Amino acid sequence: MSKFDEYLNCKCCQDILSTEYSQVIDNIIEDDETFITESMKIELFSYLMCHDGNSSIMNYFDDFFDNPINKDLSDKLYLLKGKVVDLSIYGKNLGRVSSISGFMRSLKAALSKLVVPSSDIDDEAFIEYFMIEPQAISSTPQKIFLDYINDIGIADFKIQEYPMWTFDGFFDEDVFKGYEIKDLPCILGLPGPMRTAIDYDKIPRMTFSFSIPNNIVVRKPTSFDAGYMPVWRIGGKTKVHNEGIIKYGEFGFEEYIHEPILYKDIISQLIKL
Amino acid sequence: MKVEIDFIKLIKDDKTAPVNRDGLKPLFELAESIKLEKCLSTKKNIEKLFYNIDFNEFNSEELSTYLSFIYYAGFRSDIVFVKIQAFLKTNILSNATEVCLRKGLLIRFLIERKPDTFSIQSLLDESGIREKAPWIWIDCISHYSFSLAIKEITAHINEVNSIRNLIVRIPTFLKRYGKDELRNAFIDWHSNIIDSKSRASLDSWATNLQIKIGMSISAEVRFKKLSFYQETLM
Repeated sequence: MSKFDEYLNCKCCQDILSTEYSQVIDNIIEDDETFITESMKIELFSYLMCHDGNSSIMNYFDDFFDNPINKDLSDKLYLLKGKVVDLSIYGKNLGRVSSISGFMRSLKAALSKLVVPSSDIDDEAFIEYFMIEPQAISSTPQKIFLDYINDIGIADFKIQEYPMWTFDGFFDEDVFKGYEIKDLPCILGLPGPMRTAIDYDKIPRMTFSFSIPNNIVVRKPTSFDAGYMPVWRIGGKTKVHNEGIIKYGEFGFEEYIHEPILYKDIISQLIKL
Repeated sequence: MKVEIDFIKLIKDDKTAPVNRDGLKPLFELAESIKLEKCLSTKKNIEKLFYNIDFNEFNSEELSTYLSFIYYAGFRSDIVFVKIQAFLKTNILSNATEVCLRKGLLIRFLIERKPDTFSIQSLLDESGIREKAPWIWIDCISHYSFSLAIKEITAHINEVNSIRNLIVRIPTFLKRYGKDELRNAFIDWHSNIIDSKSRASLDSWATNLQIKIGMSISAEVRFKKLSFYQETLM
């Protein structure tokens, strides 16, 4: 008997529980109440009870976690509320995997503040010019992308407007040893287009490394950061997709969430996955 | 209609929407799903909406997002092109920057997918876009004639942010026209830049492109400025 049973019987929760998104409800119920308190959970479930079915549940969830909408991240009621990671994090380089289209959209949003971006049909040529294949990491020392963002004038711009999900040790030899770069989306348990694990490997992605600035507070993600994301699991480590468990085990890297870094914090090349 | 409300809302909200772990916002998660043919009924519903979309209801940023969505989702439907062509045939009298920008975005989208539906002459006649949204006009003309694009860039090269606008396009120009064409273009632009900082920036890109532009451009420009007598002496 859960203390949330009265909420879980509402139509919206029942609908979610009957689908592959049921993990989202489990995550919220099981999350550490030091950070995601019972009252926060009740607030969310009460909100879900008011869903009228006229809009998609994914968008309805997003609206809750994005509250208040159009405010700075520091004003958000539910994001970035997890445990603060200790100071040793600032001596490390962290890794980031992003969808190429997501990275491009953020980059173009930054560019549009200064220039007239070229059209989307050129995006592929654009990003291919800067990306390298994983096997070329050591043989391509030139950091053309960093020159580029400096020349355009977006070096001091945020890499995206929302919290960044990052992970530990991608370029740290001790951690990286034995892991193949191309398997990163699997090890990190990244979502497919419907936020489930289905087709996660069909999304073109890239990775890069960065140094975390001292002024950015790094936290462990909570179920409220993950939102409507059934591939996420509580516990602080990434959940490896089923097909990678034999090779890598059930849990992958330590994962973090924090305010976005700036383009100038990128310290590696952009690597195509 | 459920999807209609969501789709327009997703476009309008895209600027401030949260991203998922992967960096994707909901609108572009939807685009990925449609591209992978994961939600055919949603795709059909959105296609139906294309008939009723009024481009005047979007500002230029929203219109740009809408066109990006169509591109990233891989829509091949002719409805969008028919709508754009019909819209462009309406008498758009205003020469306000925002109006020119939106018109330019639609023409650029059209030309890049169906260049035959637009002519170089009709593009040359678009003086409003050429004046108010020159870099979009340059994107358009480059599909018909790179030399005209080079000339137009040269004409704007000393304006505020022109070097930035140019650098943004270098990877595309490189892929489309190759190093040799770009080298000739660099010589033209370089010799017309007044500001030394901008020239240095272009030099640095010449070096990045490894097309021996750094020193050779300086030398070539110097040669161009020497009199025949001086050249003979050298």
